[in-house]
Amino acid sequence: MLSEAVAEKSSRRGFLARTGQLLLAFSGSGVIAAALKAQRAEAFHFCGHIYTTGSCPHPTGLPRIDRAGFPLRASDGRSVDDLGRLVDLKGRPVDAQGDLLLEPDGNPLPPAPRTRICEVAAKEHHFKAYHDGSWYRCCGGHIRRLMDCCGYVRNRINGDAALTGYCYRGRKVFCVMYYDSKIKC
Amino acid sequence: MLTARVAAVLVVALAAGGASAATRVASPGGDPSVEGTDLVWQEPGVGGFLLRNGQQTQLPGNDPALGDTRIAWHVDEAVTVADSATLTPVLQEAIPGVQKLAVSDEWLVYRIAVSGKEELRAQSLADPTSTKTLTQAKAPGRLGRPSLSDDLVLYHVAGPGGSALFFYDLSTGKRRQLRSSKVAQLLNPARLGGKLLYVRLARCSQQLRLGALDANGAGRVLYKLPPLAGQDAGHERSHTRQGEHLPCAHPPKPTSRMLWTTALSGTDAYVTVLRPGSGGRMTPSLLAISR
Repeated sequence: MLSEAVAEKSSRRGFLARTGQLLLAFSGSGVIAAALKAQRAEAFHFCGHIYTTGSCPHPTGLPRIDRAGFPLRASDGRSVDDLGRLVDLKGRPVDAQGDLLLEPDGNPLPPAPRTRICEVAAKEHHFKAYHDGSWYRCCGGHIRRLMDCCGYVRNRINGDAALTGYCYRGRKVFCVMYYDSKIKC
Repeated sequence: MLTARVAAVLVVALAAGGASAATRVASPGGDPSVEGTDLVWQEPGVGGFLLRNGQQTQLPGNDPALGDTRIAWHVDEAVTVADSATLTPVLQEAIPGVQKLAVSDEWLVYRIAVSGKEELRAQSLADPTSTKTLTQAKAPGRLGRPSLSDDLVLYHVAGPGGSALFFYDLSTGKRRQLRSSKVAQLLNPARLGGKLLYVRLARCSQQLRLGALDANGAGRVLYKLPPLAGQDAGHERSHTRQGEHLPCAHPPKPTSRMLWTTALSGTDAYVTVLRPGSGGRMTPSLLAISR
């Protein structure tokens, strides 16, 4: 099995990273989408993940994030805070219908922190978080951007030796996360 | 005569996962305040109630608070401070934007909403022209309901940066942070003597905790509820579990009920439990838990 360190240098992954970025930047191209579709990743614990590094800590489990790295509920892509509650754009708790949760006197319930999951990992494990490279796969009919949470770490979240993956400048992969775009593939 | 609501006092509810047996005091009802064996609370849309010697009395206002020999309530902006034994007013004044009250023999403390902000203010009952601002928050919902014990005002501040419990000593003007967290949400402190009661909402449980005022230990869990959110499988369907990382060791069975405001007496801890209703508006129930 290829290590992530070796895989990083392969032209296939480099190509996918570059084309994936282009695809997300320009909202899709049939040719590139077809190329990604043909490169379906081998299954690990979620689609597109191609090695054994564990998920970054996430309030609801699967490490789905938004474009800025904040946690989303994997099942429906709705924003959640660090307590796992559904929240609105201002981070205030809402109910399943999206209505703001209100105290009996009408005030909104207090918001809780909503933290980028790579930063949560970094804080819990005492390193500085970096979002370096990404790779792209077709998952569930949409382009998924898979991202390494990088740092100057020896070990990954699994507890064993960390690998280079898509991290730069001597940093290594501590954990992984993903962003599901709306671009069909 | 006991009303139907007071009859609920005798209903013992062993809440799912609760650390102690809880007795339902009022439903709907919440925001308790206690002095000795007297208890007051607010029933949304109806008003304040006083429970004394097993007798329930509706008060002539909202958001009642007890402290020492005083009781306070308000009707819109008209605030009344009264003798708690006779309910005879000793002070009546208009406080625009008033929301929540706390009272003692010497102080009236209140939270007001002004220009989209919230403030906690304290007014000397000996000199009602003397008012001081204790703290403020720039957005509604960040500043908790005050509780007052001797000269100490306790309150929470909670927001996207985390939460903290504070007291403000009205006799010295000094503020002190009692607890803080960026992981869990700490809410609605109440104090009696050297004991601190508060709510701790964490990712994997909700707890009503009783601890030392002057120490930072976890304290004792008097009551608990499951967390406010569940978790997924940690891996996608048809994929292996290897590499998954779940927030809670045991899959939680989440609840939409949330622990909220508190009060503390010598024998019981009181906590409001909110449950969501239509349009996001939460409905309170008031529980008593033996200390």
